[in-house]
Amino acid sequence: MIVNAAGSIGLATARLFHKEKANVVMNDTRIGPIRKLEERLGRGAIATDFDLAKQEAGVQLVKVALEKFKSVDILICNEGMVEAKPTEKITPEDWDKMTEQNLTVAFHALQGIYVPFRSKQRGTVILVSSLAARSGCSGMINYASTMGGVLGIMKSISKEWSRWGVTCSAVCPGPIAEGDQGMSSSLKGQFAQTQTEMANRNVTAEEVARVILFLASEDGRPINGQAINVDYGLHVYNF
Amino acid sequence: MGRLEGRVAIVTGSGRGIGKSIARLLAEEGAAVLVNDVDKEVAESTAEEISASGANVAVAAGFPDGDVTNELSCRNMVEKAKRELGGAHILVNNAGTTQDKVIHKMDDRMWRTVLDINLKGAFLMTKAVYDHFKMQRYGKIVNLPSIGGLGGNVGQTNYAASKAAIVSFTKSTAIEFAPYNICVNAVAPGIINTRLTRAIPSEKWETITSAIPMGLGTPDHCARVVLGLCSEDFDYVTGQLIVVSGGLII
Repeated sequence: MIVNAAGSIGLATARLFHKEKANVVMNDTRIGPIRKLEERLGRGAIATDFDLAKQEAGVQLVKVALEKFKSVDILICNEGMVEAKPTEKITPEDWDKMTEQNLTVAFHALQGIYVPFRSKQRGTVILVSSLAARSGCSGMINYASTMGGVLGIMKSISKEWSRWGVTCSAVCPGPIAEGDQGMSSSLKGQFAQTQTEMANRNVTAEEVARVILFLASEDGRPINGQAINVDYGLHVYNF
Repeated sequence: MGRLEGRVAIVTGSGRGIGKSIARLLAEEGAAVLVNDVDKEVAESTAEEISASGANVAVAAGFPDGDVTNELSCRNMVEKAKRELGGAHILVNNAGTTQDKVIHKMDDRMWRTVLDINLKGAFLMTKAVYDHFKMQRYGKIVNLPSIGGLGGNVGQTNYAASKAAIVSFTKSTAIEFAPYNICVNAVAPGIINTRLTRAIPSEKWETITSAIPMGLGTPDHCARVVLGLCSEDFDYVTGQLIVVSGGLII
């Protein structure tokens, strides 16, 4: 089950997981891109547009997934929005919207998945945060803050649900080549001066999806409560 | 002469606990202090205590005046500091709350309340001081996340989200404000003897506190680190997180 699936990482993850024979449920209120992908992937893929800003939507989404595929094993939660604005231009309404799309949506998706994961005593949650959470990001403090919040959710869930065999980890992608996710290119410039040549590469959504796939696979099973930078070494100071 | 002579500090949530210690220590070092709390009674009593030692003190307390989730109240607090205390140089975003429940039992109200007070409150206060700090090319902002934000906690998804967000908020504002000589840092208290931690059930309390290499922390342990960050000793330090946990988190 992939929520906020219409961004580049969500779409790439859906494609990759489907290729690896998983059934995929893609949810996003931005239904266009995921509807298109649903048609392309055919069997084993559905697109839904529940508004996960509403508390009841998490349970409703999981119900649809269970009706269609009988089981839900993996929840992947992407970021919902990115916006660049200097601090003085961010209104309280902007702040609330960012919080809702990037944190509350994850909160509700987790509430929805709780019952099937607990009853099965197994499950994997992967939250997509951002390098901005770890490095900070000028000009988008609300986005970076919510991405940090995602890591707080991840760590709490990793502790709260481990007793039921559920793991929860996160990926922190650097700027995505396609440009709709990740931190601003101006910040990247600041890093590029001090980092290796490797850091001058943009990570692609497909590369992030492969790390998510690893975390969701048997090989990634012992990893719990961790945030993994996917950034070609752009940010190495994780303290 | 104190280290903060001539400075004016706004300390949110300073009616009691760590915030009160911070307000008191900053005042002892010569700062004028605006005491803020939604609990009017404790704010006034703290203000009285601090001013008895000769410090210049103002109060913004109760609803809506002391509410950090209200944009207008935040702006008014900064205006009050300027008007009654002669300026604004230091902001300590200390106000915070907990509403614990395992995630499947947590309702939206609990989720939003904690995120609003702990995270949005820091944003609104920071935004309220920003223009003034930028114009005077000086400012010290200290945020107070928590080890709960660094490691998460069972029953604290909302709290951990808000406190982890504060760490990223600190780093981001530090980068953005650095050209204007505004330092933004964070102090993450460990297990400190306050009203919030005393709510921990007694059977857990002993297990938790016995794991702290240096024993249970006091509000003053945190306040002294905040004081340091607000002083000129830390003029070239920004975007940093200091964990004050007596060795619990290493």
